[in-house]
Amino acid sequence: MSRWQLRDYVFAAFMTIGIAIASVITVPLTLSIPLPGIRTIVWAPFAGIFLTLGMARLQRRGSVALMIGTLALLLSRISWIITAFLVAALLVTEAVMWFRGGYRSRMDRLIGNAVFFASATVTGAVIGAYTAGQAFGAWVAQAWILVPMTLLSGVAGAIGWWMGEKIVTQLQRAGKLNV
Amino acid sequence: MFKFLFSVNPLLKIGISLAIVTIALSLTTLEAVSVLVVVLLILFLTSIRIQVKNAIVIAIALTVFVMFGTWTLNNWQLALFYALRLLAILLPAPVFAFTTSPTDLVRALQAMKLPSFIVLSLMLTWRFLPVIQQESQRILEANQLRGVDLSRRPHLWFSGLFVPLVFRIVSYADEVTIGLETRGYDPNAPRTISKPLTWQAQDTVFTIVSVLVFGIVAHLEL
Amino acid sequence: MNELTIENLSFTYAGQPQPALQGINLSVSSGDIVLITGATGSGKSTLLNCLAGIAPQYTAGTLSGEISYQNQSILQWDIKTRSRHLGFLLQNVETQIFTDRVCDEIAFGLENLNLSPEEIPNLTDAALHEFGLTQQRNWTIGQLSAGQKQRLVIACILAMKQPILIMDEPFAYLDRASAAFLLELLKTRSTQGQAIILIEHRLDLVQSVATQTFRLQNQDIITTETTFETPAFSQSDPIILQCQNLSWGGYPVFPDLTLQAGETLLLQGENGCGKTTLLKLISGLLKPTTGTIELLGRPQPRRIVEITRSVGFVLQNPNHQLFAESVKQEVQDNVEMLTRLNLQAQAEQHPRSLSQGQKRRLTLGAVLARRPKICLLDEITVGQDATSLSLMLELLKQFTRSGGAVIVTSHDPQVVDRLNARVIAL
Repeated sequence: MSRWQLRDYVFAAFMTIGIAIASVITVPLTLSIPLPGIRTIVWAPFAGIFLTLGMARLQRRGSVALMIGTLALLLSRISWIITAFLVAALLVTEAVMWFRGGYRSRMDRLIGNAVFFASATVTGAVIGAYTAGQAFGAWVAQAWILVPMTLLSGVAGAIGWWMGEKIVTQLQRAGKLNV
Repeated sequence: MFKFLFSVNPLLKIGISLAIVTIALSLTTLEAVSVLVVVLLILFLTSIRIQVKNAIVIAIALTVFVMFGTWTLNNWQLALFYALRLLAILLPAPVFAFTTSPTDLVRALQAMKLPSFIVLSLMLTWRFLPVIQQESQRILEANQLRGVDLSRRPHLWFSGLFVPLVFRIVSYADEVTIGLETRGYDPNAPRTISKPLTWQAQDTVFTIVSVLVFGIVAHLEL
Repeated sequence: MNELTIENLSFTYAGQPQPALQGINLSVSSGDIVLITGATGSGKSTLLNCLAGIAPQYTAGTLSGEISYQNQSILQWDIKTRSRHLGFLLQNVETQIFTDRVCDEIAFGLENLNLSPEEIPNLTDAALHEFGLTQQRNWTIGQLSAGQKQRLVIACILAMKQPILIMDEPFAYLDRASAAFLLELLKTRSTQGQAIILIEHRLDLVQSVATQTFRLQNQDIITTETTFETPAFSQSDPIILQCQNLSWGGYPVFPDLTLQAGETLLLQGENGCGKTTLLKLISGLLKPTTGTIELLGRPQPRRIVEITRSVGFVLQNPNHQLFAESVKQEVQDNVEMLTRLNLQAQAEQHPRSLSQGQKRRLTLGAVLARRPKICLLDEITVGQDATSLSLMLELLKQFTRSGGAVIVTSHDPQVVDRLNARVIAL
């Protein structure tokens, strides 16, 4: 459980694929709504399933960085703003989870998911505001919008965590999740 | 289509794109940013085939953006400036992506001597994303075959799509790991870089032209 | 010289009372083509897993006995090290391809060997030439046919110049032309000294070239010799399905079909001739380009969920069709169905923990539990041993006796005798 092996990298890559598919399905639904964090809220329950699975199998610090980092690199083909805010969010998450020692327990994974998706809303809003200029910056930075959206993103992430844990249980029952 | 950009060194393209974004974020005058955007648009339209209806949608979105900006800031030039700056930031990524195949990107990253697992992860994601999409398509069909119309019964998405899909993905992940080993892949062992990146004439031309454009932009700004 | 020797090899999966493999003895020399055959469940995949190093590293269990390569034990070698000397072609060829393009894929393998960059282009050309892929050099992987993909992987693997090539069911998805090409390839390489181990189901194709045949026996055979009487349906039985003038995509027009209640129909043909496409047209997954389908005397409904009220379709890969958390739930708590499929012992288990053969039976049970009028089954022999097949056929027989109709496809000519159905060749 100490060193990263080939099977870990491959598993993480496939979790990234799952998260990417979740993006492809959910993001077009909310693309045009100018509410900060709305895309994260819709994306989080589905992406959270794969993020949780990856955490459950890999367990180490850096698991989120590996899964989301690859996603950020993949999505750089669409827009560098996406890469930027994803990287910022993963850095926040790994920093917070560093002190908890990784993702070994269910609680760790819950916190990891909630923190990641909540920070994704914040970093998305901040970076989006900065690049779009003053008008949007003012709109987005209004606390009465951003704070509830951030909280809702965390909750959406928790929903993804909950579904992910249910699947983890099924995988274990079927003997398919050998850690 | 203008094929020039396709043969430019990917690392150079990344570098220039980053430079464009940095410069765009530090500009303040409308004229400077306009020149940048015009150049980028020329590159964009000559490199990528874009459908008319997509172009119209984007044009409408930009107009709405400018109108929103004018309304909140009471200054249409400022709103236009922000719109153009946004374009300058968003355009390099698709231009780069379209003119660089994923394999070229992977080779570029390898040449940068990044840890091999980064390159591996990107390669696997690129290769198996369509495969997994096909698997989800088959699972969706299997749902129809058992009389479940998922679009009308969203509460069945979990057991009907996500659980079977996860099982397929986990199964693939383990099989692919074995597959990689049967091909002799070792993330920790040294690997050849079979097509090392070279600096060619196109790269020099591209650099010179880019520096010229930056020079003009800087002149207009200051 | 004996390249590979297997001595008294046995393997028991963790938690299983019986060994999956027992006392296997085999030796392979240069130029041999060894055919390993036997029913599914008799241990063919287990043997491959042991040779490759997948068991016990990835699949828990106990291994005893000895495997030696050039008189050296390889049991301690990991998969990667073994792959340098034993080339493995796995069943799902997709899991051995990692790039976008044919030439890049061959280069990928050579890069793994850490050869100098100057050598790689020549070796790539040589490999493409030897395996008949020179024209496909710049093709993307998606443009290749199943046979070409397989040849690509063989080319990539043999770039490491292993003296022994081990292939897991390589002929399973090949059409006639690709199968012929592969046979020629194997014969040529064997005369050049390559040792080849083939794990194969389709004896009709391979027996002619094998120098040794090794038959694995199933450990727990339930010999139920079922005899199939002539189907009990008469001319007066209602016509459930009528297809006329159907065509789709590039396939030639399909023969017209009339199916009565109680009837069993076998669609026979090579891989790639359109059998699955026809089943998809009947089930509504595809819409015909020309022609009409009449279901129960009325035109086929437009929505698939309505069609599938009367038509059940058992897919070739059961992994796409399992949705419940327990075996019992999968067949809607129909315990009698489970008993007839010999799955009652697994009633509370998770469906995904079953073996492939058990999963296939389970999906049949799940489809029949919905009480369709027609049951479609794609490639009934794939992933099946004799026992499993007998159980499924028995269940289908009872289904037809109570008025259902069955359409089955198969590329295996042997199944005609087991089924006693009307045969339509495509």
